[in-house]
This record gives sequence, structure tokens and C-alpha cells, in this order.
Amino acid sequence: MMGNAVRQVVRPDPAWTVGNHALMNLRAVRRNGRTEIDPSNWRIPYQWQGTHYQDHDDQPFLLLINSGGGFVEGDVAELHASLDADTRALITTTAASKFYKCLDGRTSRELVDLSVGPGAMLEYYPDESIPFARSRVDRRTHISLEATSSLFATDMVSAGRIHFGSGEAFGFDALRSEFMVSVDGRALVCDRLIADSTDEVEALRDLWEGANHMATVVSFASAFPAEIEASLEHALSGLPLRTFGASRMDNLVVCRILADECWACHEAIQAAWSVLRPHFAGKPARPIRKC
Amino acid sequence: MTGAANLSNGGNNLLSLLQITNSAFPTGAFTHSYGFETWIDGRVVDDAAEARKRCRQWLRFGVATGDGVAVAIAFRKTLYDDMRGLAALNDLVDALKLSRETREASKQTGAALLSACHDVFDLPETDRLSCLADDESVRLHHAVVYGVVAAGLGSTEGEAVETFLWGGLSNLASVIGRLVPLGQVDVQRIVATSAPLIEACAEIARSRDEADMCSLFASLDAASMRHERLPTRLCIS
Repeated sequence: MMGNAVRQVVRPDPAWTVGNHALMNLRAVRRNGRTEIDPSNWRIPYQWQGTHYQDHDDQPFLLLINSGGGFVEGDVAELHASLDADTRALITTTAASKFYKCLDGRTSRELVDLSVGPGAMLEYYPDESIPFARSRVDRRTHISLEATSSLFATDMVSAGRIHFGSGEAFGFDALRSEFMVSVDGRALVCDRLIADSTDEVEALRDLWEGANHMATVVSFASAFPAEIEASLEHALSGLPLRTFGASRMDNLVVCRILADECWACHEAIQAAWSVLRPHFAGKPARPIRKC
Repeated sequence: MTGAANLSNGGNNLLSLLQITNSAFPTGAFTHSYGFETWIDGRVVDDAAEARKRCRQWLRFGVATGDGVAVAIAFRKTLYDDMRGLAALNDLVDALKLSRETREASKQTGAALLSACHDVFDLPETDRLSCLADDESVRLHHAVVYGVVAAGLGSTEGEAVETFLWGGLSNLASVIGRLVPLGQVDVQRIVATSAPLIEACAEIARSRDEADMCSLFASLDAASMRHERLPTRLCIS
């Protein structure tokens, strides 16, 4: 029984073109002494291939598969998931979300809507999003918590295909990226980037201090020790990052990471997870097997 | 417009806005660098040209799309006496600030502005806002209070947003001028050459709604976070 209302399952609209609008509805429940994830429905190009228990305990790891390979102009993908009370789950992806050029001016959309019940714990750790040159992107990640929920969530955006040809960083036409976490219906974090004019897109290189990749890590839990933000900065300080910082506000920890290289940004997120996970999950971080 | 507002500065609304944006008005804005002190400490900002460039970026890609929008929306919600809307707006302003010090700076400045305006102008609008602040979970942000006060003083929305932007830039330039340090003329040049930018930023701020509020200045977020642990700090944020 969830403390928060069980969500309505989102049904596909008959007007959606098959293959252009991915949909996945998930519900995590306590069953058989562990958390199990039920896919109530899905629609290609999202694919359901079950879960793994990579920690060898009660927590499933879900590798979300978008078999389309990327977002062609106007494509949409929607992930809706709710975690019942006292469940815990990790959701990641098998590859980066690639947004291709949108020469006809239509926008590609990636919508993620996650609800975490009381006493439940979610780790949302997707790969990065890559807006290709001339793409138009709208991506929104909304995570709803209750006061007793725990969360580790990451959001990583690249400037484009950095090492493709002579590089095409910040070549997209429009990017709207919203990473929002709320607790009991009240916004706690809203990391929103809207760059849909030429001056905004061109300015991003400077505003990211010359970096090609930006990541935000948000964690919410009741048991972070004092100086956790200093521990985070210490863990990140040995990595080749353009800049980074960590801050704590009561039960909330936010970490901002800017890196030249994608792998460095991934390393930094993993380092942050290593520092935080023992405190909100009671176990160490681990390399996530993706195949 | 209220009767009390009519009496303030002889009913001259512009003078009242000049008064609350003046650095002598007791809001404590002169103690906040919003993360710039980290850059200055690391010599990322160490001359007038770099200071000017980053101040203008802060205004255009941080304030115009964030707090500036909040001022315009708070102004409108005050006219409609939409207290619930102001509370929701305040929550969003809070959530958009990713570092503890930036949030605290905005809330401290907001509380000080509300208190000072209550004492100086005695506006019914600030009285109602104070009732909202009586809820311990609500700490009002500077931009929200500023929008309410400006509406209470009878200014126009355009004046409210432009003076907020000008006041923010002026205060930040002064803080940076003290920290780098820069000459007073350099600081005043940063302000004086920004008039067209302020006008453009006001247009941006007034044309956005809550769903479009954002900040693009990711590196300043990181600088603000790192400021918490700078060994020597002259500013609160």
C-alpha cells in the first residue's frame, strides 16, 4: 500500500505513431521478501527485459532500454514509475539519450515521471543526454518524494557530439532540460536549463566554464552525516573536472559537476554515489553491469 | 496604490524604488557575492574586464531568467492579492537556487527588505506578506518581497523589474570592486554601461512565466557551493 496515491497508468494515445512515441509504466512493489518491478504496459521503442539484483539483495536494478537508438525529430519517450512504500529500486539506462537534428523545427521529448512512496528508496542513475547539432530537445525529469523517502538521482547533459568530426559542441537549436525533485508536493530542487535563443546557446560554453558536460547529483535522505558536502568535494577533487561543488541543505545534498570529457563526468557521478550511498542505502556503491 | 504609499517620498514612486535599491537601505545585500568571491579567491576574476563580463552574464543568464521573472510575477500576484500564488512562487524561487548560500542569501535579504519596508513604508501589502512569513516553513525570497513592495509602493511592473535588476548589478559590482579590488570608477563603469542590457533583461524577465524560470550559470552554482568551504571569506555568500 503506498502512502501516496497510486498513480494512474498512462495509456497510449491512439493518435501516437508506432515507433515514434515510447511509453513505459512501472510499479515497484514489495513481494517475495524483496522489491519487484511490474511493467503494467509499455510501447516500443521502450523494451522490457526484466530486472537484475546486482547487489544480491532485495533491490532490483532496471536497465531501461530504448531500442530506437535515439530520438529522431519529433520522437517522444515517456517513463512513468511509482515505488510503493518501503520498496527500493535502481533505474538506469543502457545508453545515452541521443537527440538527432530537427530540421523541420519539431521538438523531441523525453519525459520521466517518478514517484517514491514513504520509506521507499530510489536510485535514478541514467546515462547522459546528447543533443546533436540542429536538434530541438525538451527533456523533463520529475521525481516526487515523501518526507520519509530516500533518493539518489543524477542528470547529465552533454554539449553535443564532442569528438565527432571536428566536434559539434553547443550546436543544438534549442534545449530545455528540467530536473525537478519535490517532497510532499513542494518543490525542493528545480534545475532548469532553457536555451532556445542563439545568444543563450552560444553563452553556455562560457557559463559552463568551457566544459562540455554538465551533471547534477541530488540526494535526499534523513541520515547524512555532518560535513558530507566536504567529503563529496574531497572525493571529486582528484578528478580531471573543469569545476565542481557540493552543498547541503538539511536532508538535501546537491552536487554540480562540469567536465571536459564524458568519462570524467561519469567518474565524478560514480564518486559522488560512492560517498553518498552508504548513508542513504546502507551499502557501498558498485560498478553497474549494463550488459 | 495605498494611502501609505502615497505619503512615501511625497508620493513619488520612483524615489521610493531608488530608496529601497540604495545600498544604504538595510537589506544586507552588500554582504553577498553569490559565489563570485570563490572566483576572485582563485584569481578567475582579477580585473575590471573579467568582472564586467561575468556581472553581465550573471544578470542576463541568471537574474533575468530567474529572480527577475519572480519580481514581475510577484508584482502581478500582489495586484490580485494572490497570497497562495506568492507562496508557490516563493517555493519555486527556493528550488531554483541549488546552493545553500545562494538560498540563504536570498532569504536573508528578503527578510531584511520585508522588515525594513514594514517599518519605513507601512504598506498593507507587506503586512499581508508578513502573515505568510509567520508560517515557520516559509522564508521569503528577496525577489518575491521586492515585487510585492514595488506593487505596494505603486510603481509600474517595468519600473519594479528594471530597478531590481539595476540594484542587483550595482550591489554585486560594488562587492566585487571591494574584493578584487577594483577602482571605484571601474565599478561605476560596469553599472553605467549596462543600461541597455538591463532594459533587455527586463523585457526577458517580464515575458516569461513560472514554467520558464531558470538559471544557465552552472559554473556559478559550483562556485557558490565551494564558497562554503573557502578558508578566508569576506562575504556571507
